[in-house]
Amino acid sequence: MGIKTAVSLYSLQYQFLQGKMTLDDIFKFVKDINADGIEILPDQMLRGTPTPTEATYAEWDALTSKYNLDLVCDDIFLNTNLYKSRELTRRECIELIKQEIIMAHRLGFKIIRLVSMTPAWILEPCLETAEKYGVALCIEVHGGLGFGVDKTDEFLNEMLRLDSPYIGIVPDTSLFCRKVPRIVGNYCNKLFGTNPDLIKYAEEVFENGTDFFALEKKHGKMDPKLASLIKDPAKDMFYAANLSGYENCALSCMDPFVKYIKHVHFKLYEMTDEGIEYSIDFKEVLDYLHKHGYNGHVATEYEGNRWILPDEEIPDKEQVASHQKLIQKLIKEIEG
Amino acid sequence: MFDRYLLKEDSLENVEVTGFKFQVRIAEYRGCFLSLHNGYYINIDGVEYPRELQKFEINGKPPRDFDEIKKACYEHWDFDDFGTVYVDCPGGLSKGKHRVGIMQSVFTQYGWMPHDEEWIHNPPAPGTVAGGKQHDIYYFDMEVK
Repeated sequence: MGIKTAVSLYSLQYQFLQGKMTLDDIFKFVKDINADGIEILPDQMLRGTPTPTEATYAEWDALTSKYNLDLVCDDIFLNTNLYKSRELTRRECIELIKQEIIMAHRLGFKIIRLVSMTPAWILEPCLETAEKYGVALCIEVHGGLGFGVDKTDEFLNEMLRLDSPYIGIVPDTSLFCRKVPRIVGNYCNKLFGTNPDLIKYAEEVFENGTDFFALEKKHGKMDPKLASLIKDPAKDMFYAANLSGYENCALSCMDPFVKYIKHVHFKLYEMTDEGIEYSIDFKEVLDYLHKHGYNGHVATEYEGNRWILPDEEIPDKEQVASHQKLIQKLIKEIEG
Repeated sequence: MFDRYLLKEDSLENVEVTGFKFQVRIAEYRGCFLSLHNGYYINIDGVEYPRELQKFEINGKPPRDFDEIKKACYEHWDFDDFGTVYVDCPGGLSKGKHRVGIMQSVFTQYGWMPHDEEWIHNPPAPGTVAGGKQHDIYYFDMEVK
């Protein structure tokens, strides 16, 4: 046992979208960089989800047999705004989640990551199906949509109330940014001309141990100093509005829920030339997980891809490989 | 996000007599159910072509207008498929280069939002709000050959 690594195939979405890598190529890549498993968004890489054809399932089965990677986590979404006359009813939402549980089981996954803001009331009615198929329903706890956000807190309370091995959480390390991602500021400055003083202020806020999600909570509105540095909304607002998605929380924020951690997203914005992630100290995260006896997977989720300038190639394969090298080395050091 | 890949290169062409067409991807990191697809802001050389002039072709079915598309609640647009946008424009576009501004309106989002009650009855005009992961109008230089 021990902590195992995975790659969320979301990290390689650009390669897939452009037809540069097939799913087979992606599985091979993950195997070649010595990751233990994969996480997937079926809605991204499997045709016809949530009801793929038997032919699609057969292709999937062939791939999973060929590469023998751990099938770690199935990332799903609930679109409650499907109808143009009304919101989906609770019964309709529950049926959609049950359908996803059955698909996850068929694909071979034992963990579903429910996207942030999934309503807590789906849990109890879906629990019997989750147990029957051996699939845990886990909410993603992501920076800006995590602890202290009403819908997430409702989910966590319901999880504690039901206290089932089939309900849990998937923390995302966007909660633990010790520096604001540099790549985001560079992108916005070069593409939109974002005010450098605004970017500098964001860096200072993180250096001072806080973040904009916390400041917004404190003030009940956008941090006034941040607002004062928005000189031209066309240039500055995108960067400013995006900042609350990066939090600078203490790892202890997970303490009350640690036994419910089923999987962890290791968010990756930017691996530096020194082989470390610019914003997140993965040693402290892995130390915490090890100390608490975590023996599930941690999955690279490369999101730096959306912050590459339009005329530059997205270095997704290089970034993912470098990140895996880092976390595999850290796990060895920590576990001995 | 991947705005620069939104339109398929060299796909802008005239549709005899009726207008023009081009091929698009989803401005998101995943597929979507068609009813979440609300049309396009399209600006070609300074001329806007509103949603009422647009049809969308996907999944091997004939082009449908967005009043039909919004009823396709359980028909899926797969992430890696190009769809084709048809635009009514009698006579089509002139041959040669065009500046194409485009913003896709897709209501993929995280949960029910405060604006959804209004939007299910009165969806916003494409180009007026962010849709999917596209936050602004993106411009392409394309050519009708």
